Amino acid sequence: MDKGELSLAAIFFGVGGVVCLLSLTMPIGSLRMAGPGFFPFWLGVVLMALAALLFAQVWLRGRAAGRPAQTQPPLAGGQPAAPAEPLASGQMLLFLGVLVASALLLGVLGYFLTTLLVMLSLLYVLGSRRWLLNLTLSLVTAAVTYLMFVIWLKIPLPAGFWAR
Amino acid sequence: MLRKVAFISVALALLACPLAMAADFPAKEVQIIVPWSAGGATDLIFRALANSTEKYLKKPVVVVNRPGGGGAVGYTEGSKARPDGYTLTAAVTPLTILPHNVKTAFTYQNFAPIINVVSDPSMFLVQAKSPWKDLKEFLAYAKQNPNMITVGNSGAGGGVHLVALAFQNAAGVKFNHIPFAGGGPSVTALLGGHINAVVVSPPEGVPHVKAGKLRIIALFAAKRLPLFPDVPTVTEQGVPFVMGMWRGLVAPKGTPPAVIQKLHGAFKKGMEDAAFKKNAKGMGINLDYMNGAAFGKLIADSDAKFSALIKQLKKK
Amino acid sequence: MLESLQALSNGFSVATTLHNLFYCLLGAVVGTLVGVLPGVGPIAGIALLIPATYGLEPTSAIIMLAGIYYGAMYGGSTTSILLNVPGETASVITCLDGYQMAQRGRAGAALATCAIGSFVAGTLGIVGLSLLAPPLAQAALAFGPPEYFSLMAFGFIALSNVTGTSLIKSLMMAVAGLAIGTIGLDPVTGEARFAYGSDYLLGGIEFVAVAIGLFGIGEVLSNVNQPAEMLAQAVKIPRLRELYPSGQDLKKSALPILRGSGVGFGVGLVPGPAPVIATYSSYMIERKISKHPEQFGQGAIEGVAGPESANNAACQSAFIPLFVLGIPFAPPTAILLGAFLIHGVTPGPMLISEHPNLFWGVIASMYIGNFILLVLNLPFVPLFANILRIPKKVLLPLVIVFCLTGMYTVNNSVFDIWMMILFGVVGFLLRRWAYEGAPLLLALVLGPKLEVAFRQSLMISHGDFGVFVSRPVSLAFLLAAAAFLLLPLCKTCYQQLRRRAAE
Repeated sequence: MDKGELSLAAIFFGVGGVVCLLSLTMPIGSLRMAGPGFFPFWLGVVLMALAALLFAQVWLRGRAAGRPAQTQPPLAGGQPAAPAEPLASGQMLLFLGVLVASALLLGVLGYFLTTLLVMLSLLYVLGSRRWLLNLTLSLVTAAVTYLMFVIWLKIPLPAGFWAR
Repeated sequence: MLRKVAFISVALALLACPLAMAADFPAKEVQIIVPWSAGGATDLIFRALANSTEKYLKKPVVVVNRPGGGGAVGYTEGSKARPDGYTLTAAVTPLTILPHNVKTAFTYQNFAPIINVVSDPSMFLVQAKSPWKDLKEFLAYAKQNPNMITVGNSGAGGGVHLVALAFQNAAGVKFNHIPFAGGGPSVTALLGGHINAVVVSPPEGVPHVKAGKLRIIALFAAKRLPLFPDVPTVTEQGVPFVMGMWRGLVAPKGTPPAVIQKLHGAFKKGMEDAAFKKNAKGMGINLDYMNGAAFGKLIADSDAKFSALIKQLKKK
Repeated sequence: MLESLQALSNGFSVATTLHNLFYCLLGAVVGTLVGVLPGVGPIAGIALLIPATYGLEPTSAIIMLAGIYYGAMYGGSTTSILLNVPGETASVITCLDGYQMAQRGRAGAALATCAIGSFVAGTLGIVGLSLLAPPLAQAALAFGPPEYFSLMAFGFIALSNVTGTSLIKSLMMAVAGLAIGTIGLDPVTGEARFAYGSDYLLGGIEFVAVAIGLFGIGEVLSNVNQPAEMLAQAVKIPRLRELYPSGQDLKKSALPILRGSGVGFGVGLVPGPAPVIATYSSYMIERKISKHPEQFGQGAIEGVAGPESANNAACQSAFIPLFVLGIPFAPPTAILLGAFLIHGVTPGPMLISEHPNLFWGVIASMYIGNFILLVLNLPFVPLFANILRIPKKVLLPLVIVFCLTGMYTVNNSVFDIWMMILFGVVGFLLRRWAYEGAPLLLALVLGPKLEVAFRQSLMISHGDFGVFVSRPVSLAFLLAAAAFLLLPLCKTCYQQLRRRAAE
């Protein structure tokens, strides 16, 4: 039985349910004058139905075969949810953390510094330890993108808190 | 205690800033927030104006697009900007419509008016081959067949949609209002014969009227359009009704009057610039200079009108 | 026809002045550049350069700005192929097979095929544009809300199962995309839906955030999740002689390019997100008629050649409603309309007779521009393909900076960056359990238009559903949709019955 597959189907079922409930707070209207809630409501219903169908399909096949269900990811990414392998490695969570931090810092530190820090920390997270090289690479990246967008294309990027 | 002192001194410093600034304003570039995407009518007008005003302000004038929420994103940001005259906002009719339609963090009162640039009267167009020759026939048909004439507009709750609703009140008829995603698509649907009429601002319909494909059946202007001196306004034909879209510049409330005065002067010169006038003429927009006070009154009037109209709509 | 040719040759004499050739070249270069950069698309590119054209005469200005638009269509596929980052709607589908080709060391072939396909389709598109513009524009007007709804319903049914994994999962993704598309202002009543007081949600979820998130960030996260030794390597490095497509590649791509050109040109005449419908349709057609459909999604060159051609042909035919009706059917042509107006030229029914030199000059410049673009783009292929020589542990941070910057520039909004990260995580999870992102993106773009067309149709017809079947064009699309839906079902039922009978 593929637990991950089943839980994802269950999550989609839940999302469908939530969409339905939220749509009900808006006027559904009639077919002649469909209200704002009309489309989302029926979308929620269809999503729930499809998720239930998928759940049943995976469940039945899993029971029939006694092993992971038919859909294997064709893309890279290893085994689907084999219990031994963690869903996300520590490295990936750190990487994601840097992304979140970059969104937080962009308005405060401005584009140039944020880009520099993002490059430096991502290179570190991915295991590059040659500091001089990392620093050069980050500086060049930040400078080139800054020049291209701000100076040449004249697209305003956040300047940071000291800029005013 | 120390924190309090620090706070007060910072506050004082901020208060003192504008006073010091008015004299040597502007010290750096001035931004205009346009709450719509690049390339829309509003964006094009203010880009042209920014371009022609730079030489009078002697600093760059930059247009920043903050689209989203039918203008709500840009207006929220514009209302929260520092009131120092360096961040202005392009004020267009929806500024006085949005706050009544959805919950917004701003109303027109969060802004101080600087200058009005454009006023476009709205109008109804029908196909040139339609059976209605003039306003009388059009309204007579509408009275006999309520809800049957389909009138396209450029977006639900948008400016011209509300103009159409206000007009049907004034004329005592009922139309079937069909929303489209912009003036272009609604005019396309009329050209294809999928709807009976559209309500538009002049630039969207004028080329087709000139080409003889569409006809102006109702013009909501105070006086006739210079381009079509033969087309009477609805007021001339017994339905007193004048309504349209305006576009101007505002600053966040609290901007020092001296700074606003300086900006007003520069943008007025920018409006009078020959290059800008030529661009505006090409776009078919109706330049309509108003000073800050007159523009403020226009905004307040417009807000009152739309507030009443939307309240009446929501009751139904 | 003969008159058109005569006028066209006059146009060439306008377009080949040194002055105009320069602006054509400039437009092509800027277009390629904004096409390559994610986020900055043709719309931003044209908007930024309009002020620079104030001093030019109208013909030169339009030649340059139009060049940016079709030039961007060339560059758009580059990041899709190399990094799985679709910079705009039109290049989402190119990710599917283009990125897989690059992963197999065939980035050069994919990029070169795109350039060649774009050139052929672009040129065919202009031929159509110069010969048939007025009648085609009239035909396009026949599309009202009911036809539009039926066309898109057909599109959904036919295209929801883009890569042929699980049909249920693809449908779920499409429905999820439709649901995301309902966030924001209701297009019919103007009421807020699922916005909860947020100005940002009021504007709807930005398509580019979802696209870069699901594809680009999702792919990067999957890569980061791999063991460390994988990261030290580069993507499979192309050998020098594989930088350009082989004779066999070209043979395989020839028909898809021609079919893509046809599909794209037709779809480009329809109001709305034509490049999206055009690329998805072309991809589906190629997969349906392919002798080896299982290769699609695994790096089939037909899956790159067809959609990329469709995209460029659609871009050329989108000029027809703009020139002849004066009505833009899509945002990039809307901003071109603005550019015309600012130069005192009003496109529309009178354009060809009032400004023949401008009209034919611009058309002629498009022939030249497409050629310039081909010459410009082919030498870049080895350069771009060599980006994949960079080891992943350096390449992935670069991709992130690229995505962050590109995302921010779309709306100057940090909120969009949050959305991009969120959809990146979602994309990572979906990828793990073999959900396909493409149907979600398609639904996100078409959903709001589908809903509006449906509700508009019923408002116009006063609630009568007959409006969808009483109009021939609409009925034809609906029948085709029904056939697409029922045929696979019948096939499975039939096979099950036979299997039962055999047991």
